[in-house]
Amino acid sequence: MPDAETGTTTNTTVSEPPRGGRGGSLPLIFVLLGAAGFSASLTAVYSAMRDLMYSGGSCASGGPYAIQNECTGGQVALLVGGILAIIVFGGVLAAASSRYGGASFLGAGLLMWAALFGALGFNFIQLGFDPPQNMHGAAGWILSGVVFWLMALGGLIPGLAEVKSFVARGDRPEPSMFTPPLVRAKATVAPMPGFPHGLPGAASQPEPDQPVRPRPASSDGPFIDPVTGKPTEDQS
Amino acid sequence: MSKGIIWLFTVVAGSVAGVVLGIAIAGSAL
Repeated sequence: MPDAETGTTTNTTVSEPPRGGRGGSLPLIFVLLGAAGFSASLTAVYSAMRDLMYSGGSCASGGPYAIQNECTGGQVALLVGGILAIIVFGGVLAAASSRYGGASFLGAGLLMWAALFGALGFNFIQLGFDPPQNMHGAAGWILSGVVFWLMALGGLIPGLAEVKSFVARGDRPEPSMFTPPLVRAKATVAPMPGFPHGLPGAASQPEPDQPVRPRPASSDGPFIDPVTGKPTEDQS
Repeated sequence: MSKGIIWLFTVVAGSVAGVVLGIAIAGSAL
């Protein structure tokens, strides 16, 4: 505690909050739920995309134009519902993994990214090289597949590195990115005439050996010059 | 077992179950 009467210097240290995740079984349940939901959603989107590519690669429904390839209800449900479910369950898995493994653990998100673009890219590559019978030339699919796989690689490599370090870490807490203390505040409390507890925000440094006499504020006494600390003549 | 191993096992188990579920859903919808 600072001594307001004599003036002291106080170092205030704010420690870093504990890191490393809380563990526990509740986040793990959500990890299981998120992983299952994400995989089921991705499988549904993968299957619907493949079904659509076998039927020509595009479909439509409604509108004033003659539609060559009408979308089936299953394709629409799996694609639209699957994409929305990927977002929801992917969020659940990423959040639960960070809760379990530490705030900076990004392995789940990176691996989901890799799984999404890897699986859909496989459809492009495989059906690009071996197109359905009604397709003539699928170079665009191959190009799309290569781009998808490059994007998947961008998540796969750092994702595997994250998971490897998480597994190798064992039960040790997550290493801190900063060396504590994060904040070291230096507060000087020095009394002044009329302000026995020091001016708010003032940071003057008194001499260590010089005793400072407290001067209580009073409206009955003479006016005290805050600079010289001496009584002044009445101006009125 | 360490936390990392438990997490990895949980993710793999959930993913396998999810793929089976997804195949069943897609098979019934398409």
